[in-house]
This record gives sequence, structure tokens and C-alpha cells, in this order.
Amino acid sequence: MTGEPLLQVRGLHTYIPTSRGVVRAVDGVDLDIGRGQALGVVGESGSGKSVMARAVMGLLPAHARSTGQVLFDGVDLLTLGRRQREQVWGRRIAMIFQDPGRSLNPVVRIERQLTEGMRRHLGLSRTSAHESALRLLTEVGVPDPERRLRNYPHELSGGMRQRVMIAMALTCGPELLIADEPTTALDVTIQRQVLDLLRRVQTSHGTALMLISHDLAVVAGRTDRVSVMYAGRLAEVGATREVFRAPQHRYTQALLGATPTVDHRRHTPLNLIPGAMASPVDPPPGCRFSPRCEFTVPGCTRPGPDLVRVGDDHEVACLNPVSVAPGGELVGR
Amino acid sequence: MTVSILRRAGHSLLVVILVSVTAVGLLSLAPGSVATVILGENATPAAVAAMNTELGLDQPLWRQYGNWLGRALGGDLGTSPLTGQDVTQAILDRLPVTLELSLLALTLSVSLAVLLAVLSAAAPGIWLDRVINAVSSAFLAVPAFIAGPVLIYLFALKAGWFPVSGWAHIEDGLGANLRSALLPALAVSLTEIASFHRLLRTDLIGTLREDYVAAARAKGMPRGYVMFRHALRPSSFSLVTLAGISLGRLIGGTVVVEILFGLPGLGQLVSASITARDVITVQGVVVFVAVTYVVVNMLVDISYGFLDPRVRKAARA
Ligand SMILES: Nc1ncnc2c1ncn2[C@@H]1O[C@H](COP(=O)(O)OP(=O)(O)OP(=O)(O)O)[C@@H](O)[C@H]1O
Ligand SMILES: [Mg+2]
Repeated sequence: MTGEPLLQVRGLHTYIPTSRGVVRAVDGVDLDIGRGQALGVVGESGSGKSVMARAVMGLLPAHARSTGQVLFDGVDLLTLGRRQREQVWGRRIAMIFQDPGRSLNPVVRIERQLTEGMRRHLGLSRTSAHESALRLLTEVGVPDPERRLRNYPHELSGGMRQRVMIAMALTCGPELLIADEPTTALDVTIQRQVLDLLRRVQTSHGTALMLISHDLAVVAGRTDRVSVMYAGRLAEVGATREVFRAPQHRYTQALLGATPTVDHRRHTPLNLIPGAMASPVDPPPGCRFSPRCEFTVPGCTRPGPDLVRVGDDHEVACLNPVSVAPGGELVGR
Repeated sequence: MTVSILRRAGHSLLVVILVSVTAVGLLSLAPGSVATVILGENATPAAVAAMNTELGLDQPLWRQYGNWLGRALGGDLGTSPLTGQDVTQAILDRLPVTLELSLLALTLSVSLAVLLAVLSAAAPGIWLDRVINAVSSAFLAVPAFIAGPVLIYLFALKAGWFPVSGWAHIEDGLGANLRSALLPALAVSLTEIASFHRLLRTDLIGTLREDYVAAARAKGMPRGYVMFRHALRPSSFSLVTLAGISLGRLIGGTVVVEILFGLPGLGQLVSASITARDVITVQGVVVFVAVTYVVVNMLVDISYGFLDPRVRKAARA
């Protein structure tokens, strides 16, 4: 990978005013994704992953306020007007949503949903868009694509729908794919197939990928780097292998402990970390995980902490990270 | 499927009969009979009694009704004792005016309501939405018998754009015909526009929060396209139901404006017949309107299948 990262998020804050107060869903997040690279974004439910992804896209409701920078190929998406953004959406950045049952329009045939983007962005004729759609459906492993194009979403199984969503995301050959929990709504057996498909098309098309999940196991073998998010902030960032081999943040460690093994039914929600997610309206001072952390030190409730480099490609925002002895000395990892 | 259609048809027949019984019952409570109207105020009681016997009006009400119903089921709505005209023919003569008015009113209501709802749901809460909501609430409070005179005053008397009253038949030119129909149709539409707008606005706002709308936006589809192609149809199920129900209401509403604007439709026919105690004609019109209403509602139910493929599948299964 050379040159600038494809996507650079700098100091992103997304605040959403509600009747309960201002929800600080994203509160200072930096991300880098290189061309063709896969970044995992991991965190418990409510940690702000979806809001972050939608803020990057610019898809949040009008009253949400995003500040900071979202540099895509050097251009700050947050400053773009609606029409300029529509030129980026679908064409250069595509998004796959959590629940394929809800992200396909129930009253529109698959064909139109699959081809409308190509016809608009690439100016394809009806017939060549149809050909393209057939090719894409075949590529993502949808059998009998000719018939599927005539179907309505409810006539497809959940796994098939998510394959259609992936095909739809690929229609205009985007440079970045954002997949927000693409398999949470699917059966365990289908999950793996869809994730592997996603990784395969990502590498074969040379597309960059942001893979969001609450499940560390999902991003484990499928991403190059990972960002661990907690309550709107980053807890730990680094090469996926590195973070897995030697998690530094107490939250990452707890998450890893909560990651189910093969024997576990993966879709039973695991909440092995005691305590509840920090309030996004009135977050605790200092480290937002500190109220749930067993390893707090006196500084944990003071403002901060910032990400600190602890390895080649590994940063952590923790005053008492895993491989540091209580005394403060770095012990051998 | 067939069982449910049969049940539906039986239910509908019951509704139609109840409606006509109620109409006849109410009319029989009013004093006087058509004989008095035909013979004039000064007729002797003996002459009136003779006339009543001749018309069969001396028989008990239930027998009169039974006779009428027997013939009506065979398609014969009888002859008006007042004019000697065949009731079916009288209805068919007046029908085009009422039908045109009601359909024009429905078209106006739906299209204006869709336009307003799309504008206000695009950005709920901003000034445009608030203005539209205010206008819509005002419309809701204006019944046709008030809207009619106001519209006549503003656009016919003051501006002179439309005729004050009267009806131009289509044979006299479509333009003239529409000009004579527009104000009366608008007068009955206002409340419908308001209620359609409210309903569709709410449903649209809900639909616009759906993931599939975000997904369509994320494909870079323009806002107008997303609104009309993706959001409008799944938001319109309850509007279609309401529009079907209100077609019946619009036919009722046109009775009032036909009288206000002096238009030769069913409304005028029925009001003239009520005044003259012409029970046969009133019954005929009432039954005709009730049947139309029932049929329209059935069509509305069928039309769900075209709007929502999920219903189509369930119906086929
Ligand atoms: N439109 C909104 N208006 C107000 N608050 C919102 C909105 N969307 C999200 N939030 C809040 O922002 C916070 C972060 O939500 P988000 O959906 O990003 O979490 P997540 O990490 O994606 O969780 P999950 O795993 O459940 O999808 C939550 O507290 C949520 O309640
Ligand atoms: Mg989410």
C-alpha cells in the first residue's frame, strides 16, 4: 500500500439531540483505511459503530451534527453538498446494512433495486444493466439469477437477500465497502458463507472494506486491521493479528473473553462483561470503560486517555493496559 | 378463497338491504305522500286516498317494501309515480354528472394530498411542513356547504374564472365541462385533501426511516426518485383504504354541491324526490349508491395486491 489512505477519519464527533439530551454517539474517532485494505470495527451494542458508519456516509437524519473530517481520497465528505455526495454514494462508497430483510424495498423487484444504481451512475442501458446484474448475482452465488431478478425480496431467503445486497453494493465497482453487521440477522450456518463471500469479493475486486461487528470472531480472519470502539471512542487500534494475539485494552480483553467458542450458539447475545454500556448522553469522565473495569488506577477518571503506541501497528487508550504490571513497567509480551 | 368471496357478497347484500330499509323507514316518518304532491295542496282527501290505492301506498309498509325488493332484485327499480319515468333510466341520466364530480374530486384529493404529503414529509418540522399542516387543518374544518359558497364567491364572482353555477356537458367541449366541474369538485375535496395528507404524511415519515430508504439513498439515488419510487408506494396502503371509503363520502358530498351549484346529478334527483315524497325514486338512488359503495370497497381490497406483492402472494396461496 502506497500513498495516502483511501479513507481518513479525523476527530469525528457525531452528536444527536434527543428529548433525553444530546446523544454523543461518536465522540472523537480517528480511522485509516488503505486502498484494498479491510478494517474491522468492533464494539458492544450501543458503542456507536452504526452511527459512525452512517456519519462517514452522511446518511444520518438532518438533526444529527457531525464535526471533524472524513477524508475520502483527499476530499472531506462532511463538507460536500447533497448532489456531490450522491455522486460518491453507490459509485465510490457502497454500504451493506445489518438486516437484509429490511434493507431491500419489499415492493420493488430485485432487478430494479440491483440495476437502478448502475443505470444512474454508469448510464447503462436496460439490457446491459440486466446482463451486469446477472453476472453479479452469479458471482455472489445466487442460483437461477434470471428468475431471482423478477422476484420480490420476500420471495428470497435471508442469506440470498444478503447476497443480493452484496451484489448491489458491487454494482458500480466501489473503492470502499462499508458493511454494518452484515450477518447479525442471519442463521449461524449462513453467517460464515456470507462473510467469506464478502472477504472474497473484497480481495478479488481490490475494494477497501469497513467490516462492523459486535463479534470479534467475525473480523478475526477477515480484516487486516481492527479498531475497537467503546461508547463513541476508540479503545484500541492495530493490526488484527496483533490485537488478537496480545489485546492491550482491558475492554478488548473482556470482549475477547466474551467471544463465544465454536460450541457456543453465536446468536445468543453474550453479555459476559459485567455492568452496562456507558450512557451516551452523560458519559463518565475519563476512560468511559472505567466504571466497568476491574483494573482501574487513580488516573482513569481524569480526562483522556489518548491512544498510545505500544507496537508496530498497535495503539491503545488505557492507563493500565494488559501487559503492563500494576507497578507500571512494561512486561514481556 | 371462494368461501370468503361468498361471505363477502352475502355481507354486502345485507348492507345494501339495511341501507334501503333505513331510507324507506325514515321517509315514511315524514308526513304527506306523493299523492298530495301529484294532486296538489287542494285535493280532496278522497282523491288522495284513491291515488294512494292506485299507487299501492295504502298497503302496509313491509309489503310495499317486499314488492319493491322482489322487483329490484330482478333489476327493475320501478317507475316514478311523479314523473312516470323509469327509475333506472332516471339514475342513468343523472349518473354521468355525479360520477364525474366524484371521480374528479377523488383525483384532486389524492393528487393534491400526495403532493402536500411529499413536501411536508421530506423535512418534517421545518417551516414548509408547518405551513402545509396549518393549511391542512384549516381544510379539515371546512365542510362542502361552506367551501362551496366561498369558492363561488372568490373564483366565480370575483375572479370570473369559473361559471357561478350550471353544468356544461362533455359534448359542449372538455374545457367548458371541466370548468363547470372544478369548483364543485374542489369544494367537496378540501376535507378529503386534509385527511389524506395527514395520513400519508405520517406513513411517509415512517417509511423514510426504513433501512431500505437509507439503502436507496446510499446507492446515490436522488431524493425525488427515492421519495416516489421507493417510499411512496409502501406508504400508500392505508391511503388507498381511506380513499376507497371516501369515494362513498364524496358521492354523498356531491349531493350537497350539486344543489349549491345547480348541477343535474343524482344529488338533485334525490333531493327533488325527497321533497316530493317519491319513495320509489329515493329507494332506487339510495340502493344504487349503496351498491356502488360496496363494489368500490371490494375493488379497493383487490387493489392491495397490486400495491403490495406480499399480499398478492398470500392471496394466491
Ligand atoms: N437516530 C438516533 N437518534 C438518537 N440516538 C441515536 C440514533 N441512532 C443511534 N443513537 C444512539 O447512539 C448510540 C450508538 O448507537 P449505534 O447504533 O451506533 O450503536 P452500535 O454500536 O451500532 O450498536 P449495535 O451493535 O446495537 O448496532 C446509542 O446510544 C443509540 O441509542
Ligand atoms: Mg449498529
